[in-house]
Amino acid sequence: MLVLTRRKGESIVIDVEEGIEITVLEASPGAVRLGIRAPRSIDVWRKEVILQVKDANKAAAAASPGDAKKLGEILGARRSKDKDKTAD
Amino acid sequence: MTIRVQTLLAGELDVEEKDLFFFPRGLPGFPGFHRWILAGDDEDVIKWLVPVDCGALALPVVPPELVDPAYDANLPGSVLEELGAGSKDEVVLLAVLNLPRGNALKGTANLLAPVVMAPKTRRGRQVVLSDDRYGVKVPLVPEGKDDL
Repeated sequence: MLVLTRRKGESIVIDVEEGIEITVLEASPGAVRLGIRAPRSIDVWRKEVILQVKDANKAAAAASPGDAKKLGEILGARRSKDKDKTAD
Repeated sequence: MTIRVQTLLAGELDVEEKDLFFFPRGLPGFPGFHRWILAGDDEDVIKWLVPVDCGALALPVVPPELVDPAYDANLPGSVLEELGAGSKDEVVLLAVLNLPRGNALKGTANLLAPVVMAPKTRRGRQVVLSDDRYGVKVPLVPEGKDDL
């Protein structure tokens, strides 16, 4: 891993042509606030969040249609119940 | 043009090209699949996102309002622009479900990262919201309400 020291207000450029730039906006003990400038085609994520989403998508693929059908009926019934409530 | 997809879910499906949704980025976890369809019976609340290039895969989805009636995703303007949608009214949101096998009542929905699709432009992407109110694993059936 490349390690660089930056002060508040200083930046790192990852690709001059692509225009990816990360700026230290604030630094306090235990937390750093970063500003990120990148083309729209580049995804920027908080790592722990994107890993969770990735895992959740992969786990979603394990669902069985039979289970989903049953659950769907329960959820559907709940929805019509809610609708009845609004109708009251 | 019709594409024949061998799905695990519904056997052989003939998919019209106009019914495809194009996900330029794929989905997190499935970056290589760009062409998806929304499959499922009309009467079923739970539908399935299936990549036409891998019919063995199917992700169950529901409208997020079904899980949280007050669901209100604040989509960044850049996302709408990317999908070619003029406003939020021109996109459809879906929450991906996790259904443990044989125990679907313990299922959860990903409300933090809805799949956003624009029916008009046929483009889609999964969006991670910056919103503390929503999680990746929101219970579908609240604890103690299994008798519904």
